Amino acid sequence: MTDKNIWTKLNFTASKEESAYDLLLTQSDQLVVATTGELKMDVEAVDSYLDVEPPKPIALYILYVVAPNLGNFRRKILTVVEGKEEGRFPVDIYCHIDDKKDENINKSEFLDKISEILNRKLVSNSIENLFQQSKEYSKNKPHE
Amino acid sequence: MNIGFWNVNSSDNNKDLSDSLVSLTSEKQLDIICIAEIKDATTLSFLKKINKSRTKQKYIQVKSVKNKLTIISRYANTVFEDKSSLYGSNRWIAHKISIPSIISFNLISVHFNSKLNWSEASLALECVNLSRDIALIESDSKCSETILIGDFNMNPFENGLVAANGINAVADLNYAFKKKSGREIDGTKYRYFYNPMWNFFGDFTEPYGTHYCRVAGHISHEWHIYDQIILRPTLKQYLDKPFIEIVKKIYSEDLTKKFSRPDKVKYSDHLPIVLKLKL
Repeated sequence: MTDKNIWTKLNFTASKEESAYDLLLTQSDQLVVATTGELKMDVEAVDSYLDVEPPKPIALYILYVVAPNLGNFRRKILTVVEGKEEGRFPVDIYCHIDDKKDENINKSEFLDKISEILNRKLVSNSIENLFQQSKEYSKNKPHE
Repeated sequence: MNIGFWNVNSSDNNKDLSDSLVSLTSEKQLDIICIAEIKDATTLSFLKKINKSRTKQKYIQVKSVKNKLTIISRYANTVFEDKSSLYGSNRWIAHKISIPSIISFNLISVHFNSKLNWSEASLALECVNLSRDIALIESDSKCSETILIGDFNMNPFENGLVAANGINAVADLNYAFKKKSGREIDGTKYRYFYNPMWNFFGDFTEPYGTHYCRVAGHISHEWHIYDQIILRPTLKQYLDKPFIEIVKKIYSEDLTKKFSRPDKVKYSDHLPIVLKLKL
C-alpha cells in the first residue's frame, strides 16, 4: 500500500465550464418573445475537424433563425468554432450573412460580440426580412 | 438550404447505415435527404436516432404516392406538394417545394435502373421519358425551376443526360443561364439544365467520382459520377461556390478505402452528394 494518490490534481467538482453553446442557448427565449413566436433561435452543435495534417478536432455551434410558419425554414446566421484542444474559449465566429470572421473571442466578450454581429446592417436586415415574410404569410395564409 | 442524396446500397444485404445517415445529416446540416436502396427498418432506425436528442424540429418522412426512394426532411410536410401522381414511372419522385416568400422549386429525386440490367441505350431513352415528365411537373406546379438529384446510373457525358430531348444538361452555367430559350433543333426548343457534376472528373481533388466499378474487357471508365445534382440555370442566384460536394468523410468515418474508392463492404458502393443553396 502506498500513500500516493494519482487523482489529486484532477478537478472532479460538479460545475462544468460554460461553453459558447450554453451561452447562446440562454438567448433563445428572447427572440421568441421579441417576435411573438414568428421566429425562433436554434443552435446546432456539430463535431467536426479542421482539414490540416494531422486533422484537428473542433466543435461547431451553428446559430439559425427558424421561421415555424414558413414550414420551419431556417437561415444560417453564424458559426462559432471551438478548438477542442484549447478548451472552451477563445472561439472564432464566422458570420454567414456578411462573410466576416471574428477571431479569438473570449468568454467575457462573447455575447457582446454576438450582439454586435446581429446588429450589423446586413445581418439585422436579413433577420428582419425573415420576420416580415413570416408575419406576412401568417396574415394571408389560406385557412386549412 | 442543404439537400443531400445517398444510395446506401442496402436493399439486398443486412447493412444498417442509420448511424452514418444520422452523422451525414448532422455534419452536413441537411434540411432534406433523399435516400435510395434503403430498407424500411433502416429508415425507422434513422428517424428514431436523429430525433432522439432533438428538442427542436423533428425530421419527418416526406409523403409520396411513390416509394422507390425515401425522402427525410426537417421541414414541415406542408412544404412538400407531391407531384408523383402526374406520371407513371416509379423511378422518380417529384415534389414542389414551397417556402413562401423565400423559394419555390420542383425537387425530383431519381434512381435509374442499373447498367447490370439495362443497356446504355435503354437508359438514354428513359431520359426522354423523364424529360417529358419534368415538363408535366413544371406545367402543373406553375414553376419552371427544377432540381434533379439522385443516382442516374449514367455519367454526365452519356447520351441521355446530354441529348436535347433527354435531360439537355450542359456544363456551362453562364451560357445555359443566358440562353433562356435553350437549344433549337429542327424548330423545336429544348430548355437547358445545368450539370455541375462535370467539375468532379479527374484526380485533382478527391474523391474522383461517386462510384467505382471495373468491368471486364478493354474499356472500363473505372470511376463514375452516377450520383448527380442537375438544376435549371435560373437557380443560379442561389448558388455560391462550392455549392456541391461529394462526401468522402463523415466526421472521422472514411467512406472510402484503398485508392479512395468507396468502401462498399462497410458503407455503400456510392458516395453521398450534397447541394447547398444560399437562401
